[in-house]
Amino acid sequence: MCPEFKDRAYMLGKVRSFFAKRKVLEASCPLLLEKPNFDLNIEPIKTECGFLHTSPEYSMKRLLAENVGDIYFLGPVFRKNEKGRLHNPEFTMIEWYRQDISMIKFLKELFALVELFLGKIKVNKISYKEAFKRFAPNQEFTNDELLNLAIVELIEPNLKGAWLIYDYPASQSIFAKVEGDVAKRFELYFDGIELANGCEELSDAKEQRKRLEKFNAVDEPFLKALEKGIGNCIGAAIGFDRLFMLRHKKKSLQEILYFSKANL
Amino acid sequence: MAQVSTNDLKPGFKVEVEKEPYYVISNEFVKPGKGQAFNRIRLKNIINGKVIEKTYKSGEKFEIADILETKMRLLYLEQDGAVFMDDNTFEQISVPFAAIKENKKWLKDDLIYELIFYKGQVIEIIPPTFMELKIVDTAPGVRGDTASGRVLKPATLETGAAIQIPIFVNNGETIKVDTRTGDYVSRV
Repeated sequence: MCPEFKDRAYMLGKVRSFFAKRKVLEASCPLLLEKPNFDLNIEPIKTECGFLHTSPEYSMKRLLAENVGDIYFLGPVFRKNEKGRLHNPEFTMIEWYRQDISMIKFLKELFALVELFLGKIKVNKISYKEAFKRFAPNQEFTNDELLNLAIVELIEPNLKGAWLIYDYPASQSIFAKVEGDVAKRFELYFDGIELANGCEELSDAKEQRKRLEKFNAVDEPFLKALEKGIGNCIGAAIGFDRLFMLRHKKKSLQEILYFSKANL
Repeated sequence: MAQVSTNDLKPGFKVEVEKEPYYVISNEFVKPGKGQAFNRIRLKNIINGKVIEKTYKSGEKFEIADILETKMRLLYLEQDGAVFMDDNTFEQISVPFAAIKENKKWLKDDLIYELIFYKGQVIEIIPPTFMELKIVDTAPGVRGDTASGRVLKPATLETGAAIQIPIFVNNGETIKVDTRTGDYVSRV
């Protein structure tokens, strides 16, 4: 059925030992939640008895508040109606959080994780503003929708190799620390394909409540955890399936997922 | 006409874009990190064949193009067009040569053609993929001429099509032709 079966099993093990060596423990997070974790543009799948998580973020931050230390999640996440060459409604995510770590050290770890799959990479770093100046010069985009369209049409096609885009607009991250008009959020791309999304996590519970209230998405257990405190935290989520797809030089998830749901 | 969402567009669907009819060639789901989803759609203009690529917000609605494909029999040719008949309803329709365009050279009485209607008007006719046609004009073939390297010669068929045929095929013979490419296939 799928010649990459052995290698997938091997890579799952490699990711686990990667974190074990660095003393980051695996967190078993529930896939089924009473209330869905909030994400502006991602629709959760509703079941008869709850919602499937679109990311383990809430559960992991609640664990961080219990002082479990640095943790990672390796398992399925679910996103409604996301089907395509690079999307499957169910996919495997690697998500982890580090406390009291510098951004440079965290990014080094992110790149090392990617290198497990792809071998040595050289990462180009560019800010969101500069990426637009460089790849979409002399054009004005007046809202997030247009900015996102520009990212997809003008910027991503130019990102050959590994690129880290950082300092996103403050409006584009609900869970990141904001400095001025910029969110401390970053994304890692490879050959125009979005692999990872991460940020300096917002630890101010009052501010987080304000942001969630705007969207009627207040989640008390989550906010209680922030009130308890998660410390200075940097976290990131990266798609295992996309990494695996690139590792095997394929162009679509369907080629490496035995049971994919894409309607191609 | 009915509407369809970008999410449901599959290859082969016929939709209206800026008041013109298009076939959907491909539909790619695209989503920038944490942003709203888009569909990148490749379309082929049904009237002039041009291929375009457009990106739409996921969920945007398209009008389904008023395209009808039906098989009709060619009865005869007139001064400025061809008369076709539906074998089931006996309905007859006269199609101007302007709508038939380059396929005029494949018109032969009594054969079945595919007619494409857009908003009630014929915009294209498609001949059968393979046709058996008589050669009405070609130079005689010289036996053993392959040494010179020439293996094909020009010929005119009964419908007016000008194609290349092997040099050993003679005037008056009936041959099988691929109407998609104008290639000689075989003797009949």
